[in-house]
Amino acid sequence: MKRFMAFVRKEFLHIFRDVRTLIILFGIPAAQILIFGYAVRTDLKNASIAVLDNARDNVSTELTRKLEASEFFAVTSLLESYDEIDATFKEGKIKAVVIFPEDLGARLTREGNAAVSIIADATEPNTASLVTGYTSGILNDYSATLTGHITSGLPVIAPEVRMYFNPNLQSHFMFVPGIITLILIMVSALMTSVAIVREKEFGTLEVLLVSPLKPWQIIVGKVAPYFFLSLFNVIIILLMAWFVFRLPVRGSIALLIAECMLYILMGLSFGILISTIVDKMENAIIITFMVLLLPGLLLSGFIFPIENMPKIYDYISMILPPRWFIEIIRPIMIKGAGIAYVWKETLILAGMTLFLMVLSARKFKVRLEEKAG
Amino acid sequence: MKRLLFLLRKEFRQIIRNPFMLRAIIGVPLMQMLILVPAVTFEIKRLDLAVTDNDRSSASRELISKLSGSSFFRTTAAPLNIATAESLLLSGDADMVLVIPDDFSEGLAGMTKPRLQVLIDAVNATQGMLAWSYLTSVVRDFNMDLVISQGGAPKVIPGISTAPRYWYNPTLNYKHFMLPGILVILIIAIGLMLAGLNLVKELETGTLEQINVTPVSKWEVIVSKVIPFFILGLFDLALGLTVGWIAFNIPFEGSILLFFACSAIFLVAVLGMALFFSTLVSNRQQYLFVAFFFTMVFILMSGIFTPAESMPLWAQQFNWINPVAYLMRINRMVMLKGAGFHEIARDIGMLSILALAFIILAIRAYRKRA
Amino acid sequence: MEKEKVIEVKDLVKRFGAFMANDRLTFDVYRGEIFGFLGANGAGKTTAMRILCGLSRPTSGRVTVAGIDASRRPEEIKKRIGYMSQRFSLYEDLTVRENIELYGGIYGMSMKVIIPRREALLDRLSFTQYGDMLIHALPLGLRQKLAFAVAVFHDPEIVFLDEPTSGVDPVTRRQFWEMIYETASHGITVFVTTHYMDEAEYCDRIAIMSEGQIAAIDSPSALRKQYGTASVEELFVKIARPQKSKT
Repeated sequence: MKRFMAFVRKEFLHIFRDVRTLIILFGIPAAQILIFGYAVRTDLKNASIAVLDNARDNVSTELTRKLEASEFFAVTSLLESYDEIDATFKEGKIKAVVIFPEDLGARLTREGNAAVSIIADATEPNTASLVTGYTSGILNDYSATLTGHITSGLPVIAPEVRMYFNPNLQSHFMFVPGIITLILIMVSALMTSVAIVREKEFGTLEVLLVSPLKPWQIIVGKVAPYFFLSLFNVIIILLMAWFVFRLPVRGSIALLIAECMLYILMGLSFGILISTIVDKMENAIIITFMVLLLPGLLLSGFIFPIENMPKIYDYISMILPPRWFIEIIRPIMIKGAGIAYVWKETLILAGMTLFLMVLSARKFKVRLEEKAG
Repeated sequence: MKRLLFLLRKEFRQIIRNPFMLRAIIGVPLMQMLILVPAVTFEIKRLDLAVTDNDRSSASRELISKLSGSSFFRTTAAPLNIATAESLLLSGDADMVLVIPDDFSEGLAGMTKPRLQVLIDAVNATQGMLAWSYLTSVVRDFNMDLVISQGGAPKVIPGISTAPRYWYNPTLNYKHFMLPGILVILIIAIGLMLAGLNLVKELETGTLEQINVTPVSKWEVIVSKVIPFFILGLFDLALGLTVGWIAFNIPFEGSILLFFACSAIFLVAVLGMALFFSTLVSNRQQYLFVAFFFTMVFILMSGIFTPAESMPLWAQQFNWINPVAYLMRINRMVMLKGAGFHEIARDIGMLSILALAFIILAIRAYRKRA
Repeated sequence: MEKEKVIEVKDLVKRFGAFMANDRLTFDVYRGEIFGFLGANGAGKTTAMRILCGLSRPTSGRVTVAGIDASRRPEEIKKRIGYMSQRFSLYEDLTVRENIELYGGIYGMSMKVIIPRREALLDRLSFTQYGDMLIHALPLGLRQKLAFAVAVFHDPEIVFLDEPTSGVDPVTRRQFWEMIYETASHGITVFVTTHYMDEAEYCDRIAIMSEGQIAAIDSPSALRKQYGTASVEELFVKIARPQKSKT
């Protein structure tokens, strides 16, 4: 046991002595938090739009002013004719064109209604639907003030809304759990597989294997530092989320940490498994990258909700541990859910972890026997 | 120059001899195209709406049936008390809860102000917003019908109606939006990962030192690493495009030649960057982290997934040096809008400057000593 | 024997921060000789050799290799030397023939020149049967021999060998030194670092390094006489001590 502890200490020193690795290990999570917190937004703000004003009357001027005044839009160009639209879109500077018909004001006073067209550049469908949605909203508000007298005295239903868990509708509420998921898989699975394969490549694993250390001790010794590094990363991310965005952990921190440990174990087992099947570091990297990171980013519900995807992705993503982990920590962190709400997901994740651990242990043993034979 | 040919022959021999590399070159584009393109969508299919009807009047039933009739909502009846309604949000069994208070029909009759209570799970802020706006539009319709049926207003709906039209992608198909973006991710993943790792590996195993003690010049080393991965990258791009075209029938409005030319410039920028990064690290583990980090930052800030205009100014300024942002824009313009050289000349110019800068940086940073 | 200086080192200093890796080294190496550079691990042998090869720049002092100033025109030096590093550095995923071809090409030979020379070399080493095997399939001894052959394939003026025989069996070491002798007999200067003291006896002259300085320099026999020891090994223990164990 003493020997084992000495070995673990050596592995720790190995990582901690390398300043560059440490910077990378802790700088990246911090930077990601900042990027997601401050830069990346899924909502719309200051989208450039153009106005094609065929009416040039009070109403159209007023509407243009209202669009300009909203935080969603910046009216950056005024077009002269319909033919300019295509060219303007192709320059890529604007997201939509609002077209006021010639008789806008006149029709509105004469008949009480008028139609405005919005042409959106739908190469980005999300932005396009947001732009049209917000534009309609602004026009509706305006027409409500015009037509108010018609409907006055009649009941107007006033829905009261409460935005639960995220009253200010901030997008990083959704992202922070995702970042934890991604960083953890990277540090635990990717780093361990690379670390073990590296030893294999340089032949130092053989040296360790002939030492009096038992194989499981070698493996545990190699992965133990990454376990703690991962955990440390979780804490850094949580602290940053709190200090930078005031994003609290609403649920039990102990439960959250326990779930993180489970997930880290899963990542480590996966890393070991990869290291037993490949001999070259590049291959380990490519496998982890392709199998875990990209799908982890896109299919786990980190940015894109799974329930919006075609049904088959719901099934595909079921075999991805990051999906379950996000479904566990998001409610714990943001909604304050307890174990009663996430026990199913936790069991699934635990099952996956156990499966990966057993599989990687067996694979590792098989390899040792091959070496002996 | 002759030296370069020898170095190139060596690189190609090594690539061809690595079966895993070949599999990755074929497998990665296939996987990315087929799995990721359809998955990425912000389009909301269906929201789980739990309704607590405390009024149980014909009006409330009318409203509920209007909501169920909308394709956005899947309505379920919820228990009557508010605590259990909240727990539905907590467990994620409902995305939103509508509470119809028991005085709803009285309110409609004009005795009080008619109220509705809506509880929305807003963890996903965008989805929360959309849920709210879908619900209000249904309620507005319901209200308008009511007003008209009571004879209080003309048959024509008063006010300004809007008619949205969606150009270049009339059905708001997310695949059309994602495919040009995934092609960019494909190239950056291949370029940044494979090329950089290759150089760092030579550094780690000591073969680079042997090269450094020979009279080859720095640019020959860098170029000998750029060319093979340049060719691989373009091959993967062609493969990815073909797969995308066959599988998703994505329209291609513009010039394929222009598209490849821009991607080629981008690839040079990415490879220059990869080789530059590889001169900064001492082993593959570090390189991996650096490469992964920059890939993430470049991709997320480029506007591939989220609107770049919504970002704060500093983040938008960052995109001046983000090659992904340029190629993103170019790809969508060329593939979906059929933009020609003229419209994207500025982006091409900037991308070329970046490519040149990164290659020069890589050559300068490369040390023929250790 | 006419003594033409092919390497001249005067007051060479190499510092890494506060650590003095090479402390005012001064020595010459003559054309055609086998010059041994001895020292314990960390004594500064490899640092000095890397400077001579143009892989690293001296902090101060004058270093001339093949008549070229090492601090100003290291790339010129690289055209005239061969180098075999401590770490095995042929491409493991290329064949024997391909490795030779690569390095021949890098030194500016054309395929027309390379092919006959390569076949002659393989024949001389009786390596022909291994010609199309990948390097990683070869046993270590053969690899080392091949690495040496590749280092002198382009007929350099000087070849630098950094602990070329570490880890190989005695028989192969013996054969390796025969190759070194043969190379030297063609007029190529051999500069070799080693920590095998018996190998030092094979050198024409040796320099013993200790703590970044040259402690003694002369022919092995002259040094033995001077210090009154029976072998270089004893001599080394006598000179290189006391030294702190550095790892």
